[in-house]
Amino acid sequence: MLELTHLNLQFGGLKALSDVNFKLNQGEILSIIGPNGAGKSSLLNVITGIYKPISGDIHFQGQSTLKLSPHQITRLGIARTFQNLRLYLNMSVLENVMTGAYCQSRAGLLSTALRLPSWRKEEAEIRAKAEHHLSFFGNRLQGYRHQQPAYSLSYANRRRLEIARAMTTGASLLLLDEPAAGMNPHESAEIAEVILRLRDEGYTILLIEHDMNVVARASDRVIVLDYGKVIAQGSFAEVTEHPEVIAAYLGRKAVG
Amino acid sequence: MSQENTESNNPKIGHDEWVAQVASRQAQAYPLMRWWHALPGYGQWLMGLLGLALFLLVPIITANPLLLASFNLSNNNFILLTLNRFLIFAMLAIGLNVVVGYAGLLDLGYVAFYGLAGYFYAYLASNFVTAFSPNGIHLPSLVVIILIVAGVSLIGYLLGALSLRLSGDYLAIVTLGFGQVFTLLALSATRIYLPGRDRAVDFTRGPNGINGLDPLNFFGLSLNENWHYFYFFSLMLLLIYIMVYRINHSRIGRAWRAIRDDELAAEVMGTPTGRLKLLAFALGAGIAAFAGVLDAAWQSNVVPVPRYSVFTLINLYAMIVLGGIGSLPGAVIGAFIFTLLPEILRSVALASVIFYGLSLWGLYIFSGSWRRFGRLLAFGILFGFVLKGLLLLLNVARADLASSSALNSLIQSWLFIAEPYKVLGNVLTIVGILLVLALVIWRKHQTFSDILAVLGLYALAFAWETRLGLEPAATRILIVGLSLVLLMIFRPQGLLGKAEVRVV
Repeated sequence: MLELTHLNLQFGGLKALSDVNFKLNQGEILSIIGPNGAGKSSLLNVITGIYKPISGDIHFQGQSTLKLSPHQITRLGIARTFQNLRLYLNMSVLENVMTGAYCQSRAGLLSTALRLPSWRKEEAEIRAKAEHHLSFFGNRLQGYRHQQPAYSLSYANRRRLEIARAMTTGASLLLLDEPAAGMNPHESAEIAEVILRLRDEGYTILLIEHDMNVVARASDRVIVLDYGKVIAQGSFAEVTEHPEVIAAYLGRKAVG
Repeated sequence: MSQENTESNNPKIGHDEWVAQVASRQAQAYPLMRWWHALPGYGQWLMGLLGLALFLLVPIITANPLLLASFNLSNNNFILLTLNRFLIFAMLAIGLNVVVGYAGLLDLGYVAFYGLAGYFYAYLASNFVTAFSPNGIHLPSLVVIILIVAGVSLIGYLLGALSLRLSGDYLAIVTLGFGQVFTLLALSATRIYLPGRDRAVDFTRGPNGINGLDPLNFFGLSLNENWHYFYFFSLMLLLIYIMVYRINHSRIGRAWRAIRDDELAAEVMGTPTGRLKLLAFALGAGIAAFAGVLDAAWQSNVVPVPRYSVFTLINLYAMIVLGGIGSLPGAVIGAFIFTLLPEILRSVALASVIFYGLSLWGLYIFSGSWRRFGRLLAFGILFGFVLKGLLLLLNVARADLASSSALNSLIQSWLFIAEPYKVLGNVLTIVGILLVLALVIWRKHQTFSDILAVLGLYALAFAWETRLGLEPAATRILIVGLSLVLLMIFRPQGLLGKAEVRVV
């Protein structure tokens, strides 16, 4: 589904990613782990088109995304959440999710100003879709919360809202950037369940996470990044045994 | 957070709900809004319709000399002219609100679109352009409006495209430059040599502007009277309002507000941010152009300064800031207050009512309770009479000032206006302002601030009666400025705006 080949990203003299290759299969949950500054978030930014790599290529469903702008990439079917939460704080919860449907809708100025039947139908569809995706989280984001401004939500609900917004873009691949960051153990366990349920809904997932319980619970395969390089990949059990991974996390001396 | 984890089927739990109701709780703090929210739905509609009907009856009232006399008004045209200006400014403010309020683009060249449309109207519907026929070009209004709105929207689109990568202050500088270039061109493009012509061509007639533009005419019907324009402008404002309201409550409006809140997130979530910003620019320019054509046709002339200059721009920004940036009714109310207030303040009697009303309101806000307010007021009145008695006993020279209204004579029977009243008035104006400032600084100190309030009230009344109230031309600007300053201190989001949250 997603294929990265010989990807290199550089900021000035700093190599953020060097020669990253991997493939993500349909319906898979792939986790990327690594110490802070390993290049995990940069990798997401490259995939979503925010950063442009200096060499290498990214193919999504057989199509290269390098020449596309971020919103075009989203329309192809890649949506993400942000590590440091980027909601539209002054808009309501429902509106936040409805904005995700922009790339899926097409009403123009004229049909909007005249409220033509086509506009009404599309608007109703957008609303239904948004409500459907909000209902994914049970009663957490239901009822009166639809009209609530996003800034009034709790941290955990904001994370859920970001996922709902990403789902509404109609994407088939979700990139989740530390969805469990800042959550308590109970909520992290719930996030792991949410990720598994997302896969059941047909989404393919690329997960970046520091919480090893979530990674162990949810991922089919794990890739370990360090200094922008892939140092290990395989099942969670395999990579945690890998000497280079232990060295990256605990320091060279620990491996001795 | 802890409430989040309880396994309850009832969603109405936790602190979220309380936070969600913050807007309605805040609304309860204002008597006017409390009254409005207490009205049932049909009551609000009824009040709205009543207001609209009253507004639409203005031309009929002002056309009737008997009614005019009973309202104590003499010049009927003046009211209608002011209201027509309000309608034009309301359209302009709505357009600016699209660019600044929804899309969050700080556009300081906005007036140029308004002015361009005026000049284009002069070219297409007056005797000015004689290149093709000695009588000039006189196209039907419908054609002119469509041509100009489309053309100016395109110019707005191009300006947006040139400055697409800029935002915030940088965009403001570029657009300000554009606006200034327009004003300069309008003032000075009077002798332009074109290829194939021996004589210089006058494009703008410089600072005098172009006169004698055609009135608007649709299918043989021509709008000649002010009241024709009043009804036509009202209808057009309503249409623009509905159009912008609908666009704002659609995917396009949502995308604009998303861009304003977080542009990167909007782009990554599939919103073509560049295209939407251009759309906002073009729509804003189109609305400005529409208002510009209507305005030029109604006034029958175009004048570069001050109408198309940075003064108008500042006025427009003041309107949308006053009404609340991003609020559609706020833009209209801002335009209403800003066109009417300076005119109302021209009348000394009305200005006095507003001045004393504002002073008492300020005193009430400061005192925080009716009890303290009453005490301060009583002390103030007492202080005035005691001082008067004292000064009378001392045989201090009194100034003889004519009072212009019942309110003024009432105040002057309380005040002791000593000679030389002009000098004293000047001094007490400064003293009054200093006392108010001191009051703000030492408001926590109960007794001291009580004394300051009483003295301040007296000083301000003295200043008003001897200086400010006698020179409405200068005072009205002062009052408008002061009320803006106070509003921004106490309600920075404007009258109808929502307080924005940037980082939480």
